[in-house]
Amino acid sequence: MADSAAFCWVCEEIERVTRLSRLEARGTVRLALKEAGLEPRSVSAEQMKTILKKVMPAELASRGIEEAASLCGEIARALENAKLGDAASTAETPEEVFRRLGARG
Amino acid sequence: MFVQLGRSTWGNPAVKWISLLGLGVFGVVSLAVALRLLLLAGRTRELPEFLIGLSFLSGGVLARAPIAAALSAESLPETLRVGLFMGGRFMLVVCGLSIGLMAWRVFQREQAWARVLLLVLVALLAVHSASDVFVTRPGTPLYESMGFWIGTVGKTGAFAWGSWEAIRYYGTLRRRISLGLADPVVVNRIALWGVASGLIAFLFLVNPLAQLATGLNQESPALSMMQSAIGLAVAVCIALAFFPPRAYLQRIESRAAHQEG
Repeated sequence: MADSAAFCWVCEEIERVTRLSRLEARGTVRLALKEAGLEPRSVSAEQMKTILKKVMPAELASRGIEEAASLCGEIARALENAKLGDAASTAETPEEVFRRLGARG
Repeated sequence: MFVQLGRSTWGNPAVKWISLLGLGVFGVVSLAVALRLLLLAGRTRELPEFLIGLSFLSGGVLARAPIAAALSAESLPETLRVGLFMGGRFMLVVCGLSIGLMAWRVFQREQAWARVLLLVLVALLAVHSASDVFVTRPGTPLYESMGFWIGTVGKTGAFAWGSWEAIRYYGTLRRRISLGLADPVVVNRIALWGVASGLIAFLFLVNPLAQLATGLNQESPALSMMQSAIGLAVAVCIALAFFPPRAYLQRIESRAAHQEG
């Protein structure tokens, strides 16, 4: 299944603003998502912003990228303004199903 | 007659009533959850709530009650007891099918291997039901029938799959809680569902194995007590999952806030 638009967009940005190759950039973002319990095919732009703020800085720093936190902050801000037409999977997630199952009334 | 029901081995009436207590509580909670989810399904027209509601109704109410009646009401005519028993067993097949379908639909809808696994479970349960009707020899203990073991594998497999998927997904979501990306109450509900499904899978497997080991064709007092205890544990899990008290929710939320902080 195809990766989500938010995932692809962030990978391209990281590749553009750092010296990481396409493969390294995608691998780094994949690892960050895995650590957070998310998947490239279903991650949304909102979730990606949180990852950029809370997980990615450490991942990039560990790969020798300087000022990783401010870099991630800039990418997160740009992501907010990006028109993604998010192609994240539209299938209902188990989390959404179980949220509905607990709804009262 | 199809199956050998024989006389009750409960012996001590106290054991019988304690055993029935666990199954009774499980039945009441199952009925409450089934009604709630089937009503929800009526409003949303979504499959998951229908399947889970149907599984609680068939497995917790429509199967257990006639099986318990068949095993304990010795004054009933033998044909009626066998009919109740077999009807209850068919409801367990419906329950297993619902859980297998739910595991596929909710957790692994797009995976080819999951479709194959679901088809295998459906085939096992179909063979089991056909065997009950056409093959099982009169008067033989159930565990001597191949169809019985095929059904045991099918029902245990469906619940074990549902349990595995829920617990695996819980592990993923737990990591999201610390980032504020998951609702801790929903995550807890998935965990409780996984534990309850796992306990039911265990029950489906241990019951026939114990009967095989003891040579009894129905519950011994020890087995009945164990079933009762597991029934109570499952009832507590699903009650907390679908009717959580306010204090319980507050506890989950404060623990998650601490984790996030």
